[in-house]
Amino acid sequence: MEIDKAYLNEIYMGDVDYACEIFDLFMECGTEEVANIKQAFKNKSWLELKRFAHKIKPTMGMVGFPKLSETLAALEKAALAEDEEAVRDLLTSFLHDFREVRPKVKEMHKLLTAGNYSVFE
Amino acid sequence: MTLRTMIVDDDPIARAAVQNLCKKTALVEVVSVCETAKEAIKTVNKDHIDLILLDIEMPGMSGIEFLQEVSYLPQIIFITSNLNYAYEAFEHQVTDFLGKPITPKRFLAAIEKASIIQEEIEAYKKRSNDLYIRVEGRFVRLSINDILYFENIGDYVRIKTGEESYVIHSTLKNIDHKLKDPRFLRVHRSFIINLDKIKDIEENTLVIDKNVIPISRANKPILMSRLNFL
Repeated sequence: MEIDKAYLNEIYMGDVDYACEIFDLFMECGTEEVANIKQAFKNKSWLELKRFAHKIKPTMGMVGFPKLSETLAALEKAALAEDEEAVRDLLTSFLHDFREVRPKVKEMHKLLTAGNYSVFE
Repeated sequence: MTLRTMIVDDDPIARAAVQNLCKKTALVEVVSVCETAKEAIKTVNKDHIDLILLDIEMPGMSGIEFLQEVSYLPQIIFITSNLNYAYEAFEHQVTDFLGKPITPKRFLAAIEKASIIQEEIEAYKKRSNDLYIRVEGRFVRLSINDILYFENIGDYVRIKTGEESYVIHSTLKNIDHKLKDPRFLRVHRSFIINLDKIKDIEENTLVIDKNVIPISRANKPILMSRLNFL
């Protein structure tokens, strides 16, 4: 899964400080939000699951992975419909891709703070 | 003009994003950041907010529910990742509706729109010669021309007109902030007067319609600078 640089450019317009702050916050809170989604699935709390998926959905775009926002939007819909099978499939797919996100965001953050702005090129 | 702005969002990343976007324009001054709509209800009145950047889906109370709960509603820009709310949002006469994540271009366009609307609102307020005050559960219209002075009485303010006297729950500081009319001036910590109504001025007092009003030493030079002398 590749970082969508064009998307990052559209969001940050080269504002490195802004991007770093959001990446920092994502590394701080993002994993917790995903843990909440997993827990809600375990409890079959569909409304909770929908709420957590909704909350983290735009963040995935802000860290350069808008495709995952689309997966979360589908997950929200499936949770609202209480379609357990669809929720399971979408959640599995999301979690598989999400494993790559944190290290990639960490790397981007590292590059930006070192003055390497290739993320925005 | 600068819009006194409140941000309401339960998501820390969204809050940080919106705060950052606000830094990109001089049209916005963020005066309050709230994590819940309930918290925002408490703040919106006392902070004299012009604009709320409001998330829709929040636990406890949604942004739409918030609109139905507040008694004072400034301009609203909804910010949400669920675009299905757009129709409902505009039913509430909101200024704009932004999808998350927000691009700076779209954000700045929304702020510009809010700023133009605010200028029109302020121009109307300035043109209007009336004030509304809450008296026994009703809003009573007063002509600003009729007001002689405002007097601080503890947690209340007395508004004296030629004919009547009204007491409202407010402070002179609040009135000073809202009353952007050059005819009114604070001459003492307890009095804001209508300059057009002064009958005469002595050393440390002035008279308005038989009422003697003190002038503080600090405020006297400002008072004197506002008046025409032969």
